Amino acid sequence: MSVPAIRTRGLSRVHEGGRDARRALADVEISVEEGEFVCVLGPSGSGKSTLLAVIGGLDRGYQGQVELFGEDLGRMSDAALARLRGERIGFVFQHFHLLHHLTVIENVTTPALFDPRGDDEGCVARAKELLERLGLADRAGDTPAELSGGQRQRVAIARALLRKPKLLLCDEPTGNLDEATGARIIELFEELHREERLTIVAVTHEERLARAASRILRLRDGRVDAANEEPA
Amino acid sequence: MKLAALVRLVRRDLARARRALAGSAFGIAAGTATLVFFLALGLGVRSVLLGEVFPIDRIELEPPKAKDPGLLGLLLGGGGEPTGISPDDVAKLAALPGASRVRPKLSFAFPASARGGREILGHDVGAGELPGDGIDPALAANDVKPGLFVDPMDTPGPACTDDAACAGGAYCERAEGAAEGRCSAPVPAIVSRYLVEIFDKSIAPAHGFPAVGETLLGRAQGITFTIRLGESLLGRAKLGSPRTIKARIVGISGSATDLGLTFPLGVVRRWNREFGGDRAAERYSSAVVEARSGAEVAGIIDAGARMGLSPKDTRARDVSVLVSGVMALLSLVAGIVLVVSASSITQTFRALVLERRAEIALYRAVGATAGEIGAWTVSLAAVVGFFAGAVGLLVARILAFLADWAAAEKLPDFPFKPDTFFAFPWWLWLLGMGFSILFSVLGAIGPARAAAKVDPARALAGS
Ligand SMILES: Nc1ncnc2c1ncn2[C@@H]1O[C@H](COP(=O)(O)OP(=O)(O)OP(=O)(O)O)[C@@H](O)[C@H]1O
Ligand SMILES: [Mg+2]
Repeated sequence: MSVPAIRTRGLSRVHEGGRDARRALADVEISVEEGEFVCVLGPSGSGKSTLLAVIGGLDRGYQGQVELFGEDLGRMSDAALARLRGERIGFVFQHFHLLHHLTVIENVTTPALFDPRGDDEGCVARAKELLERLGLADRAGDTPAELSGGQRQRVAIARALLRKPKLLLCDEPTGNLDEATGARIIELFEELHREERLTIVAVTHEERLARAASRILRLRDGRVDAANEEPA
Repeated sequence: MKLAALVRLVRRDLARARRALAGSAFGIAAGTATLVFFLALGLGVRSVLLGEVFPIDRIELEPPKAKDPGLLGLLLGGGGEPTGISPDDVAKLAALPGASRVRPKLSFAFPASARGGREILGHDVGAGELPGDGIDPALAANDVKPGLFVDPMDTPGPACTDDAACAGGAYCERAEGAAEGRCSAPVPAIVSRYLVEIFDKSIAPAHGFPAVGETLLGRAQGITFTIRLGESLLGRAKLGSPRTIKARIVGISGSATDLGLTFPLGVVRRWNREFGGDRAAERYSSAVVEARSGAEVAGIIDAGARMGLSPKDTRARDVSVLVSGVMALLSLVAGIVLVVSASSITQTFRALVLERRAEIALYRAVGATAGEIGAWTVSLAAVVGFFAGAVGLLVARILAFLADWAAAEKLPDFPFKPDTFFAFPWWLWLLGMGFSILFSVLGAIGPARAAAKVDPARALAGS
């Protein structure tokens, strides 16, 4: 059996904010195999974003153990973790987080800036190919301000895919989009999952996105209820 | 991160945060300009003062003054004679490791006065009291045409009893009491650049005389004087009886005495014997020791002290200390400007980092290490410091040009007025640039650490 893409053991995350400490994650034990498309559902404040930040190596303030492709995140240096994020993980955020002083193509090639082995031409070619595939080939020179919400999210997805990650982490990728646009983004994820065997973990409120997933994890008050774990 | 990526990030920053960065760079540029301007001024003034007016790399040593005889001494008829420096001592000084050359001097041991200068001044002028020294002619060899600065008695003319017997400009060199003398060409004399400057800038304007420097150098014949040996406004020599000789100025030399005329050693030796006795003819009255560098002078003074010799004039050292002190003070002011502007860099960069938290977090998410984020911020500051430094250096140079121009146009002539009051050695440019970059970077270190510490999870959740 191959190592799972993600594995957590006794994962907890307590935010020491303000007067009282808040337990965002409590004793989470999950395992995601390579090539799975997992959807994390749950009400607001249930810890979905926190879970994504922890397994993406962005949030290191957790207790317990998190393994990514067999590597224990807790034992990695900041630099090694950054390399891992750059090489293996693609992030797609609810608010896109595009850089408004850059053009679309410059946004897409941003991850290459921090790739010690990247070559300039190769990455521009890859970015163009991705934009083509996402139907944005003619917008490469525009700035994000000139794009619609759905187009911006597709730019963000292209950016996440630039360095050919093995794991795509999406936090409410359709949250800010209207129904039709959201549906097209969901189709895109299904296609990426099917054609490239990309491991996807997507957080959402929406049942619509959940239906596209191969497995659903339900979070409530920071806990994954095993009873709520269900195949799609 | 590869250098090309860093360059790209910094170029994008320069384009989008131009105004904020220019604002914070202004202080650094001003501080650099102030620092470089003052240092260049100090170095320039110092090189004129210590190079020409009060040379720092030489020291004149003299024996202790004849002891004040005191009342008892007077009553007993004592009164010391000047002790002098023996040729042995001169050799010892020359052997000091820090000394490059020793110029022993034999001063007039008798009073003298002079009249002359009709050739260029239009009429004769007099000096009621004429100090004079004798030096080894070889020491002036580089400054005077060969054959001019030599003892005329090396090739004496025909025998004579008075000046009328001598042809041309020659006179009869005959000590009082000698049966006959020999005709002598006018005794050659050299003067210091110091004396020429003082004459041209202070005495000549006051009396309406023309400036003398060029003329003197241009004329092979020089200016002739008559010198009254053994008698001056202030008194008469103990020995001999006063007589008049002819002298001619043959050039300007760094080996000449600052104030007074300098003659070939043999001439002064002969005159001192005539008017001051044998001892006055044998022992040197002082020795100028030229050091290999200004730093060696202290050692030479120490060595001289062990031989019972003391410096005649420590103005050079005093001026050196004064100029260094003023320079240090002005540099301190510039330093304060730089420190203050470093804090303005800090302000700007802190705001920049705050404003860019989400961007930094995104870079972290796509693979940037904390170190790379810090390096990016510091590099931006270094580039800002580089441009600020370039502007500051340019401004300092332009201000120096303007100051020199104003000095040339507006200031009256004074002795040793230089063409430029500034010195810009190559290392000053590097120093200015170095300080500019250093203070920008120092200012940005705090914000760079803050940037490196941005928590990506939290910053990305923010908006
Ligand atoms: N930086 C923080 N400081 C303090 N508490 C926090 C912080 N981030 C999250 N929390 C708390 O942790 C809990 C889980 O937050 P999280 O953002 O993971 O929820 P979520 O499931 O993503 O909610 P939503 O669907 O609204 O995005 C919440 O109670 C929240 O208040
Ligand atoms: Mg959330």
